[in-house]
Amino acid sequence: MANYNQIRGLRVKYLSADPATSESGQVWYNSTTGSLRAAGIVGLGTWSSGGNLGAARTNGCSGGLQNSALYAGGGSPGGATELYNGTAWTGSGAMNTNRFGHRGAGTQTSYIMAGNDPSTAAESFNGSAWSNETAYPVSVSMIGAAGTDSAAVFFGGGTPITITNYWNGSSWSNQSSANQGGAANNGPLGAGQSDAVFLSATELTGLQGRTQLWDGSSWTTSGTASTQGDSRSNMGTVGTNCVSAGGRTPSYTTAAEAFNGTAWSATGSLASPKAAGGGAGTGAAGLAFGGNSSGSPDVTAITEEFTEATAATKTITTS
Amino acid sequence: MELFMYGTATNTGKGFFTHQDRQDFFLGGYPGDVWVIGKNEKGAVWLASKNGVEKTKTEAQAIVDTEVTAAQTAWDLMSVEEQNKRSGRPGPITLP
Repeated sequence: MANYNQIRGLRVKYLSADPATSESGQVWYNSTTGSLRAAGIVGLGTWSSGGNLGAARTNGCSGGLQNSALYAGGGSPGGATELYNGTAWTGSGAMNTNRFGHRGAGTQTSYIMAGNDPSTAAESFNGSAWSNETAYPVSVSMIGAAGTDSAAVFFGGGTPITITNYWNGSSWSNQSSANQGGAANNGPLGAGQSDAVFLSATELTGLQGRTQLWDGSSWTTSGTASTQGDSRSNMGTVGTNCVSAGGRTPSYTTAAEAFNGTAWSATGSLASPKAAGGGAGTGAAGLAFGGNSSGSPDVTAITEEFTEATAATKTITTS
Repeated sequence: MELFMYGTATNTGKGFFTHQDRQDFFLGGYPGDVWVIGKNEKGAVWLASKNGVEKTKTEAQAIVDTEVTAAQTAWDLMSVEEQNKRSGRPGPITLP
């Protein structure tokens, strides 16, 4: 077996303190603490508790960032909108129509949604009020969406359909269809018109976790997520750094996976299992909230905040 | 050696558990405000600091079972339309 000297071309230094600067992979012995130390150790991302939603609900539309997210509609159905500031959710202007299973893209202050259960309806949000917009070309629910309120791509849907459409801020234009249709998970995955990730949320066993990538003109099939779940909470404003968490497998799961543009890998798990909640934020700083759980009532108001792991200096132990 | 301790505590939102908590000990939330906590000093301190009530595994499982049964009963009484808006009938949960 190769030793450190053979791998790095260096011996393990004997130091009285951790060096002020270090390279990823560098190992040394700290004689003061009596510990073997290594730089550049990357663990898993972690979830911490966020402020609870004012009203527990499921299958609303979601988006924005970790400290400026929105969640609107959903439930039985409903039209309530809540905004998150990184600490707490507060109510805002209600949607014009009570909805369930709609999806959208954008920020807390400029957002576009489409669909219903199912419907061609579209509404936009300016941070305080919703306005009706040009109807989506097809009646749809559980659609995927990524981008901004003036440059977004919407795709798939639970019927299932494969249709893809651009939103330019005022109208929809048809694009190349996805290779595989069906529902998409909730929340952003990708930057928008030339960058989107279609993570399948179909209830059909074996098709869950299928991933397709949008490059602005066509869809290509990519790596499959390990968690064969549907109704997951997504977060990621670029297709090369995304996270999808929770879902139903068919039991509710805490599993979370990160996508690097090519493949999915496990990251830190949610504390509480859930499905069909909202997602917001980036792959570095995300948010998962609301949804269904196994309790009574079967909807949750819980919010969890994700923080991507960063490289750190850690002590090497035998455990 | 037992790997977990069990307790009930109400998730009060922001700060209820932190990233550091998640790195210091295992933490899993279940119906009925039941928490499965990695059995170490930091886990025990966390439960106490949240005004939690320690339970035996049997007690914790009973709380979860009651919650799941109630959720299943509610599900069975729903119309098909309402059921279709949810993520399936709640299934049984076995605590680790």
